[in-house]
Amino acid sequence: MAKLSLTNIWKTYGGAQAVRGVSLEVESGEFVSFLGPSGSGKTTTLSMVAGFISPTGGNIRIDGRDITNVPPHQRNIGMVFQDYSLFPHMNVAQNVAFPLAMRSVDKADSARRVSDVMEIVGLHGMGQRLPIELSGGQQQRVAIARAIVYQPQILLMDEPLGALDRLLRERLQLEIKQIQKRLGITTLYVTHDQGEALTMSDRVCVFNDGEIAQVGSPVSLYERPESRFIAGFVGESNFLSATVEDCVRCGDGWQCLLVLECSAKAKVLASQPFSAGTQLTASIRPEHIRLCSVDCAEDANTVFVTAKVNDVVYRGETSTLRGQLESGAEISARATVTDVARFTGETVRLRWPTDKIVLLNK
Amino acid sequence: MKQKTAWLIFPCLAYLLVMYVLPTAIMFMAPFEAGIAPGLTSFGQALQEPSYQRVMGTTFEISLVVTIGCILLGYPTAYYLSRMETQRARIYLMLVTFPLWTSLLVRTYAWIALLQDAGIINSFLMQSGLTEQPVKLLYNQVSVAIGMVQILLPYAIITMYAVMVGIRSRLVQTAQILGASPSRAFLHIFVPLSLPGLSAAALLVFIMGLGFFVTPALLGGRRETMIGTLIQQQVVLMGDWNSAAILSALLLVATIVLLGVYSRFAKLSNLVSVRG
Ligand SMILES: Nc1ncnc2c1ncn2[C@@H]1O[C@H](COP(=O)(O)OP(=O)(O)OP(=O)(O)O)[C@@H](O)[C@H]1O
Ligand SMILES: [Mg+2]
Repeated sequence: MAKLSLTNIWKTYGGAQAVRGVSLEVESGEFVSFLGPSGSGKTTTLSMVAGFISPTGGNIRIDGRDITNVPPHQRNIGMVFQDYSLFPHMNVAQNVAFPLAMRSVDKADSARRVSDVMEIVGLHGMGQRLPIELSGGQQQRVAIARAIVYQPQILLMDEPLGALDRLLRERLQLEIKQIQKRLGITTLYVTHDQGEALTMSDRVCVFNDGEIAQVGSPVSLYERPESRFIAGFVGESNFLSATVEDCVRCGDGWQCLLVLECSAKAKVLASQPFSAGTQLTASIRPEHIRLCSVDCAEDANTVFVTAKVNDVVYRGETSTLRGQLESGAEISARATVTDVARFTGETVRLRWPTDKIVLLNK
Repeated sequence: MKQKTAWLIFPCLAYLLVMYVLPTAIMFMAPFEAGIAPGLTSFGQALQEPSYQRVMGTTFEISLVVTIGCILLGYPTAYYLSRMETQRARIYLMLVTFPLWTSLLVRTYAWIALLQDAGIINSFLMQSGLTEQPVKLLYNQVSVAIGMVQILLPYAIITMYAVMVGIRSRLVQTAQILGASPSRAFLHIFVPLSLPGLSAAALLVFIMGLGFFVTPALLGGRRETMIGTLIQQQVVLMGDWNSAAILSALLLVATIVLLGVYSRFAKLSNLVSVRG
């Protein structure tokens, strides 16, 4: 529907910098989520797009039109909040019709559109209820209906499912995604649930300390994190220090021989050559680390380490082993077999394929 | 609602029973005993007598004017305070209640000093050449209303503030992103949600206004005699306890009726305004 561009947005409160130079292009119809720890500037950025607060610097454009100084009611943006923000003195139908009334849509047209969106969000026939007579999930559906009924150019959602229980949250995730696709509405979605961000988004924009740490598709964020922060924040990662021994050309990239801190060696592909002696961090996802039975064969493409298992956490379909390498580094691995609890306190061999290692700058 | 701590309110109840309910009951009985003094002997008589009708009319009129004055001045103030951060609002609220720490009598005399012909306001007006003769500011309805508004305004502000502070700014913001200009958002969202506070404040001020007697007696002329003043005169000047009792009873009945009407109205508004 509409393309949104943020260019070098800053927001400072007194001396404190809440948002520091955020730039982002959101394509028409794209679903982009803002993920990040508490206080990282997600809500502040969203509020600037909504127009509730004005940026200290930078500008915001919708389809090329600069809206940085346009008041909220003239932006034609829809918004959904974590606390629903329904008007308590109006019934559901009046709530949903409110934006249409503000746009002087005539009665008959308004009634038709309200009933259409109520159908879409699955609240048909509840128009006469007051917000307090609805469950949390239903209230959020009303808020969504109210935010899309006037076909805004952009939809903003600030942790819309944050107050709901897990099952309901998962159901509404699917529904929101379906509605968003069907209407093709450009959407910014704030969450601090990484699972939610990964399942719903076309792209995820990870905030850290007022800045965008990395933007990319869920797959690229998970499989090609560019920093230790991303590798640790999106999913779990083990970090081992690595020293480059040497790098050789390999296809259109480089292959580097590393010495990991547990003195294991690994040949890893890199996009750039590193000089010998460079200190890097090797990051490995726990699900790529396997328990090794006695007869597991040596293999050039596999890293082997020994670790002492400190404890085993049972998680249903998998168990997580937490252990320590000889170097003292913590390591956690996923095991799919169920009776791994017996390894607690024992020394085991662990292995992972070298191509699962992601190299990060220190 | 059975609470083990219910006995805590007994001392207060006992006090009210002895000092208020009992005397009121006795007072209701008294007029129907033989009328010793000349004057009123029944409610019907009080309602028919033109001079009493006039006093009651004046009482309602002044209370109404004062109520409107308190709402007009108090609503914007309460709104402003309610949008402030709590820490600062607390200080401002203390300033609002500050006049309540001073005796009502002192404040009323202060108004006389300000408003009289040789008072500060008139000296200013004449010295600056705006008027030649002193403007008649005292002993009329205006002075009574000014004095009473000043006394009752803090009650109005605090009552409205209590409701307004519960209305989250988020709702008004939401209305704006949905397409309402700031003034329409205020009108469609804030005002309806603040109505319970407004009506409670109006009722409180109106009822308190009905019973005023010192301020109208000191700041008003003969035509500003309110029912409270009249009652006081009946007792102190005429020794006519019968008339005083009947008038007091009328005042009480009027208050109870108003409260009754309000409580029906308030229940309706509570339904829609909780969790603003
Ligand atoms: N009005 C304000 N005055 C001063 N500082 C503020 C204000 N609003 C936000 N901040 C600060 O700006 C930073 C970013 O806040 P923001 O609300 O955007 O975080 P967030 O990413 O939405 O966090 P959360 O996940 O907890 O909602 C925080 O450090 C916060 O303390
Ligand atoms: Mg937030």
